[in-house]
Amino acid sequence: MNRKLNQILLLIAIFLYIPLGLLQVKINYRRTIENLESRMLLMPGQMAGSLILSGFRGIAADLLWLNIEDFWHKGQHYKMLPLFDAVSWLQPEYVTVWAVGGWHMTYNIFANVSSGIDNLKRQLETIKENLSDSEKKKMLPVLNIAEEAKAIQDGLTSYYTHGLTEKERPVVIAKLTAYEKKLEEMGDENNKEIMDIVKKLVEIPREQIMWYERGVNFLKKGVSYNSEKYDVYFELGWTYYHKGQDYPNAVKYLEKAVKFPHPAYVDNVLAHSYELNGQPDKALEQWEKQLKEGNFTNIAERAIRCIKQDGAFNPKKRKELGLDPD
Amino acid sequence: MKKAWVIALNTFQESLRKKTFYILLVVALIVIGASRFFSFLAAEDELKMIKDVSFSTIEFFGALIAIFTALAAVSGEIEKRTIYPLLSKPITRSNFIIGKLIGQSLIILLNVILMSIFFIVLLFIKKSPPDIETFKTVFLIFIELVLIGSITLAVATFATDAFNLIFSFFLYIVGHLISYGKSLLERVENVVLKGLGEMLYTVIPNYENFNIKDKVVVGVNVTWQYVGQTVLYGIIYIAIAVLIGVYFFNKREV
Repeated sequence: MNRKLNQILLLIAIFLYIPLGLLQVKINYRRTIENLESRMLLMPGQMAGSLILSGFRGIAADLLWLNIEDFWHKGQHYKMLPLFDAVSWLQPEYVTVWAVGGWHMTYNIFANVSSGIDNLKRQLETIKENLSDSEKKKMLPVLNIAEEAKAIQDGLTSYYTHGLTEKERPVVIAKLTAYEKKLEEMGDENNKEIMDIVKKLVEIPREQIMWYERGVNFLKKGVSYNSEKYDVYFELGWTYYHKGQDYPNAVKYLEKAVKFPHPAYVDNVLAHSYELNGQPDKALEQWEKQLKEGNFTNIAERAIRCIKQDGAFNPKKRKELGLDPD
Repeated sequence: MKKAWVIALNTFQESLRKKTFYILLVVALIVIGASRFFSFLAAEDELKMIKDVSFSTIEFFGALIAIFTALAAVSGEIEKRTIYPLLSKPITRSNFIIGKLIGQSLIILLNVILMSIFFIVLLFIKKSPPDIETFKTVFLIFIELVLIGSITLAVATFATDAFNLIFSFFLYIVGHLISYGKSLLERVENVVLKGLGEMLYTVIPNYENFNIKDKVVVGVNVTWQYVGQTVLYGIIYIAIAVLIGVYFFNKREV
């Protein structure tokens, strides 16, 4: 091949970079609208890791998930936390990581925080019984704080309590912080043993609310990456419904979940949430929809009958209305 | 074209005789099969892991086969001096390069098909037959592998094997990270640096275009339009690699 023709070949090669560049712009556009961007935010320190992971983020996420499984079965909940962040960072569309991560924070760690509370309560009762009247009188403000903290903690864990909405939680946190401050001001000249127990009793609900909020925020972050699927909306709605007893928010996210293809039980949870949120008409509509679609027909028939007759089907709502006394 | 096809078949048969191909293939199949060990996980997670491991194995071992086949294609012929009688026949150098590219693409195709069959069998065992997204992913991996092979082949026409090996692996990593470079580039204010960066962004093959596996395993659907554009991108880049390969091979004194 002569030299001139050879140079033409090189020129054609260089010329081909023009359509290639234009095509890349189109591909970038499609990657954005089709949700194919990796969405990994690279920090300078993360560059090395990313070099290793280039093109194999799924595998990296899987290896980390295996670590999560390991910690999970060993009950080492706290060790899982950075791994949840890492897996969700590598593969934000992997809904399981958001669902499991949120569940661990709002349920397992939440329960773990209060694991010693019964023991503390017993210890406090024993000490109280042995106090003289004058000592009891002196310690009364501290003991009152303990009672308030116990009431708040009971309210957080029992299904038949009021629960805490998003608006109420900061108020309760402020209250617990004020108690902590008050206990600090009282100093240790009082009965040190009682003071230590009461401090822990105040600390526990505070920490539980913190973990609940952390779990909810984690799920909210998951929703932002998976806004076109029912999964994380449902997990968030369920957490508000069951754990937080925050029914306005439960309705908000479950209504979003049912907009996308979903299993039939999601509609049931929405119906219960409507009822507990004071929307029996909507709950009725929801159960009628279930009946029409042939989902959970026995439950739906019973629910419709109860709501029409008594005004409530959900056990908690019935208890509130005095329909099912203890 | 007939002459190129003869060279292609010869390259294909030659590659089949090499032990490296079988070793890589067997290791890849073992890795894909090993993904079944995740049966202690929830069914959904296990399936995701099988898909992740299989797609990544097809890509990684496919890239190794593509690079090694392309390395041997030119330098092997020169070392064994089989290129001299070949070029003394009425075969143009462009026929030689195109033939080599087709031959190595056939080897890559065979490798991808074998690994995919193994992967699909695993999916059937797990009672989750492959969907169209699985095939789109494998198809884009195949185009990526052909592109990797064509670039290695082009470089082989003027560089040593050692340089080519390092260069191909380096390009593989950089090609997957170039998208991040682009987002960093948007923050650069210096016009010269920005222009240089834009040029590099166009010149370096964007392998990340072909990477849809991480999204497909978590249920993201990819349109045919995207697949079509990416295949076209691959074809244009392969054409550039062939032209550059032919250019340098014409200049080379063999």
